[in-house]
Amino acid sequence: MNGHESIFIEEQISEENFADIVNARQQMVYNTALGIVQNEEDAEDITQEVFLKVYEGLNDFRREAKISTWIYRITITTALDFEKQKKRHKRGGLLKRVFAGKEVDETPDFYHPGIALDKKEDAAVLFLAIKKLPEKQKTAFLLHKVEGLTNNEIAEILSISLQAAESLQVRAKNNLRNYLKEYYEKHFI
Amino acid sequence: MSNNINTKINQAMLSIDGMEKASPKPFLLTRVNAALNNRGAETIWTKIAFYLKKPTVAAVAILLVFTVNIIAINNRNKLVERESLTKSISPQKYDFAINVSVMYDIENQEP
Repeated sequence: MNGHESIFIEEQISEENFADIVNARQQMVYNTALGIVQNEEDAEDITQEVFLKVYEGLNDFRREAKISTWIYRITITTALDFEKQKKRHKRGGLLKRVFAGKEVDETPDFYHPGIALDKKEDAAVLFLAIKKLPEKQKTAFLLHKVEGLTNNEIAEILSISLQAAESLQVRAKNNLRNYLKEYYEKHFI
Repeated sequence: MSNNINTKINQAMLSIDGMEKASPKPFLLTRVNAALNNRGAETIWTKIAFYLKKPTVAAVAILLVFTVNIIAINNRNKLVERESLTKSISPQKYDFAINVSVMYDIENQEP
């Protein structure tokens, strides 16, 4: 049984085993958040916030979904909200964009700690491209690539059909290829 | 050149395959529990302060102060105008002593 299969095991939920839930799911929550916000400190904050929401929602959780699906949904919503809020609060963002054109977002600045050293530069450029994807495509792509989930599992988490999940993957890959092409045409010597 | 770019794109697309999972800092559970305890200790004042700190609330408050000031200044101007109007009218309209002779004037007439 690999990591993501074990995620989908049914389990009893109560306040008593909240500690077990945190210990078992922290890596899953942290990695999903890290992929979306691309900042380790922000991902830490989001992970903490997600488990606070999990604790507060334990009584309302009625097993309509698997616990992992439920936690993934909370993580994705929290991370995407966090990212939107951060963009809104970015001081001087408008000025920077006006004076520096598109260059502000054109520098790869996120190096995922789980990437092998020889692939770090390529991965940083890919993460820069991932940042530009629409929310759903980004989420579907990251859940597949980072979390290793199948399209069925992604469809369940995003509450969409299997075909829609597959379509999101294809569109995400096409868009990523286009962004990467644009990037390398500008920066590749 | 085009082949090189395609190679770079393929390399980038495959760069996160087989990546290792990152882990959060240790003692996450302790931090979560501490945050839960802090949430429980929130008083009504911390909640009020939280809402007052919001930019929308601050902007509305400033707007309200400005509006109240403008209304007050307008009302004051109207009051001053009314007072000056009253002052200019009253001597002509209510000053009976100008044209009417009263008993006092008759009694004190000298022969």
